[in-house]
Amino acid sequence: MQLTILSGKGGTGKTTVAVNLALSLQNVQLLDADVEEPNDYLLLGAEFKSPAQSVEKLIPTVDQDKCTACKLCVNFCQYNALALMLDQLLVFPEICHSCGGCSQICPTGAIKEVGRSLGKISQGVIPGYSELEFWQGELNPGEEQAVPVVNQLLKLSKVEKKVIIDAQPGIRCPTIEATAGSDFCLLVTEPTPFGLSDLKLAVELVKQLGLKAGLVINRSEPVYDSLIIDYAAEVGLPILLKIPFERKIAELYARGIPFVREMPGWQAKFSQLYQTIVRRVSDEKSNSN
Amino acid sequence: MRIVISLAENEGETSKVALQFGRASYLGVKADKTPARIIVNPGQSKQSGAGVAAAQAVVEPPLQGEVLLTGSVGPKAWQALKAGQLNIYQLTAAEKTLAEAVAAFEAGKLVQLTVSKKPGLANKAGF
Repeated sequence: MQLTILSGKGGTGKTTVAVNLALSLQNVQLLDADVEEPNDYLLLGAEFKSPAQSVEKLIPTVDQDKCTACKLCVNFCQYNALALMLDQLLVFPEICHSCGGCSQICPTGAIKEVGRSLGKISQGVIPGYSELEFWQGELNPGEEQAVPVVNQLLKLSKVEKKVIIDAQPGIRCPTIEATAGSDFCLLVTEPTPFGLSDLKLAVELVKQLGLKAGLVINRSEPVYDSLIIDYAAEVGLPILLKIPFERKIAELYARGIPFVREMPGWQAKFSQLYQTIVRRVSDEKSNSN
Repeated sequence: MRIVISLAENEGETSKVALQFGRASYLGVKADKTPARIIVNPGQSKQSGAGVAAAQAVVEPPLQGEVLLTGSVGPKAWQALKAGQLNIYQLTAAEKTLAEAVAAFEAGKLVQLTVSKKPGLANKAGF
């Protein structure tokens, strides 16, 4: 089963949920798809020993001798990755979406596509949890397109594993890429107006993708939770877990320790959370049959 | 000399200037004694590569600029404008309108930009 953990707002606790859940189950594959800022490895204490795989995308290179400055390619490019300046064709690789249109349209064969590294995929080993398979994607600084990195990372997912994907915050393309193929979406929010506002965006996204979803309220406080609970009831989103706003949890987080390791009972709660999700996914399957 | 100015509105010589280049609403050109010509900046509405699209417009008809007056230029637009051999001068808060910007340039009051002033989002990634 594939489970994606996402949130509209950053800093709500996606990493906390992903890591603590992964450490509470057996036969897990954890994929950190927050490729602009992967940080699961910090809480896991993961070590990267094997060489990383490079993620490449194709970008145009120009043979200026063959280029006749016809500008067809510049006009074709919807992303403005090309410019013609004083008969010199310039390429802006960070903007390019690798569609290959420029090389197709060039009447003189002046444009060839070449690979360019934009990120990497690495496997981390977690001391004491050798059974937990962990991979992360990482976008190179300065690159603008995270999707190819997320895409290559997700190709590693194994059907026989409990695959947990930690998606990028927000609802842009890299988040959608990490979410679209999942069996279930676990949305993480906090009981604040910002948390609610961005949760609504994430719920919209999940709805449009036609996926099942459930909610985790992090930094939960009974006096403020109604903000989220009322909305969840309104849209029919089940609340599957509340993580209390507690000093002990914050202290452990600050020290880089997943709280399931130190606080009794929480492994069982995360394990129950997973069982609930499995039940909801299989209910959906039996209903649709 | 053909002077291009980044603009926030299309109101002839009294148009307010825009201090950002790539996403400026309009681009205007002032050549010698002829009235200013103003076009919509094609970069303004682009999903990506706004600066590159705006730079492309600066070198092409009807603008065909030799000099650009603007507030700040992102790194990609900078690279394109330099390849197009544009001389770029920086507008300040003192120049409010197209006419004032051109007058300040002609009086030699504007500073020529020699490096891209704005790092752009791309250069901030990873920090």
